[in-house]
Amino acid sequence: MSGRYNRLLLGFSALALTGLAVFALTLGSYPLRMADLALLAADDGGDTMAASILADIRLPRILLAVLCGMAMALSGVVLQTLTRNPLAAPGLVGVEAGAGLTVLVAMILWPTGLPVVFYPLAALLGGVAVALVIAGLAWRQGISALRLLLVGVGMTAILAAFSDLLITYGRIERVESALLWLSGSLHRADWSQVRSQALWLLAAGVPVLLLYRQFNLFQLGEAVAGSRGLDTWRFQIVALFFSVMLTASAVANVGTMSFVGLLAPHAARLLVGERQGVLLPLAAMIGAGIVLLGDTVGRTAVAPLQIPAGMVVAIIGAPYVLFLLSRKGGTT
Amino acid sequence: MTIRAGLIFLFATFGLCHAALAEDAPTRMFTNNFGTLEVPVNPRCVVSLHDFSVTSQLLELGVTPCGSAGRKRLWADTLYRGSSGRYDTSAIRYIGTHQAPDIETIAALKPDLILGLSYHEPLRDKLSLVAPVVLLPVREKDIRSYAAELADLTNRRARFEELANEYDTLVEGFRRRVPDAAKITITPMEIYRDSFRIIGRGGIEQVIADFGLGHVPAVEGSSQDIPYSLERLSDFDSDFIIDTYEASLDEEAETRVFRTTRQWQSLFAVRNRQFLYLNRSRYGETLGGLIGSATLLFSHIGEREVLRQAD
Repeated sequence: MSGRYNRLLLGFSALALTGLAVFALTLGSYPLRMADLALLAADDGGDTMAASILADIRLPRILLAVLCGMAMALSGVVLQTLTRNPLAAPGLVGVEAGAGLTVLVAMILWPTGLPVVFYPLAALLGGVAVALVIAGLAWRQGISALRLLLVGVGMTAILAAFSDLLITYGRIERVESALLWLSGSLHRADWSQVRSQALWLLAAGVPVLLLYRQFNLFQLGEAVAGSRGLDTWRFQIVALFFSVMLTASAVANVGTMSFVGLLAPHAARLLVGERQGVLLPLAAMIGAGIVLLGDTVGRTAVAPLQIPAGMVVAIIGAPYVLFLLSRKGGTT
Repeated sequence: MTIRAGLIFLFATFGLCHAALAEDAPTRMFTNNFGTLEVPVNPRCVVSLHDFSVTSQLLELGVTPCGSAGRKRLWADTLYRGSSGRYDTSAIRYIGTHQAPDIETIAALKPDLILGLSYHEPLRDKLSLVAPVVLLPVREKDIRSYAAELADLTNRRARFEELANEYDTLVEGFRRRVPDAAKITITPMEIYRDSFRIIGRGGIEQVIADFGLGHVPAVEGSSQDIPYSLERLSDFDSDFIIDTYEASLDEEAETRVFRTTRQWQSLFAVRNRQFLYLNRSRYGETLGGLIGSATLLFSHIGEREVLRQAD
């Protein structure tokens, strides 16, 4: 595929994502039309409540959906590349469960002890701890991709049991809150979360994008990559750490949405193949679009009932994974 | 985009402040253990973030909220627990669930007061953009205390006093009629398919305490958050056992198997027909709920011959 095609595709994706975001701005229970947006943007006075709804309710929610979707998608691409397994995703290798359990502990056992702004940090600690355990158990003169996945699945089961324990024995109102968050909800989105997620994306997402050459090399196999000067051991550790940072921050802000890290990379791969320089940004934009679409449908379809975005994404995502598996089965 | 958003926010904040100052509706300061804030003296449109604890108490005081959280099933009417079926709720606009209310729907109602519980604190900043948000100590204090705050906020103190006096009269009557109430043991529980919790609804625990009724030792050391297994059932055996059901859910059928177990059948209260099965939506966490629960217990315990394990 030519560079021109890739540039056009990236440009079109960015345009589509922007269009979706602007369209999402006009949707909601508070009546606002496209013309109102123009008036508000031009500061034409008028409905101050509408301005507030737009600036403090919808805009941060939309931006958070976009940023978290990007983080999850990038994390998915990194894990799939490191494990060379198209079914690898933060939700399957235990990292998401580790980050999620840490936030659950904070929400159910220690609700007043940890300010919400520190949730990403707590999730990062949980995610890193789990990633280290998994990497340690999967280590055989380098990280074995198959062992990483198997250990990750086992670790996810253990952490899920602890999560269930907290949910079963926690105070009911805290558990209800936690369950809503666990299912991937953006109803509490605010500007502090947007800032926090943007910083995490800058700290981990941008480096991942800049490492595309190394990812391309790594795909050729460790022997080839090593012969071309890539320190594969160090690269795997650094990339895994970035992936954990991206997952942990997204999980802390919007809960678990396992399918995004799986869906977005595959959708991008169908369009551009394995060239990481295009795959990474395209997957990020598709991930952003998936979460934004999921949240917009969730908050408007049966409003004022709010369906968590994670549920909408799962309803769309699960059939897609089944489709992938059936295709994979048919070709082997 | 961020600069534009910041500008919109500034204009919006300025606009809101300006609008608030421009309106003539008298306001006053209200203080409770969640803080002090300016509230309208006579709220025009009150939004309740909890149906069972706040909406039903508002309706009892004679205030119909303009919006309320509730339970909604697709293609079915909204259920306001503790209120639907007892009051006319047709004028109440559904605003979503109590955990995730739709802020835009609330804003569209243009309320001048929003009432929530302590766990709505994370939403307080966003909701405060719409109207003053008062959090009530429903979980932190007793029913009477938070009902008094609610009556104060909605200017219904006289109605509150009426209800409180009615309850006090019931309590005094029971204590006169059953002077040795502490010798009668009672356990409120909630039964599930394969477990149970020691928990009372509709203020039943407060009524038990106010009546001076006793508990078996296991109840004193129990936790509401722990679902106990069937093996522990006999530890909570008392002169009376109370369970509650939600009429709109098929809970009685769901727990029928539990009630056929030997452990259940051999309980003193069950053997002696001193097991009470009460509708928990009829008597919510309100003053009316306290009166209802007190009337029931008065009738079942104070106005009949009671068998006691200790006899």
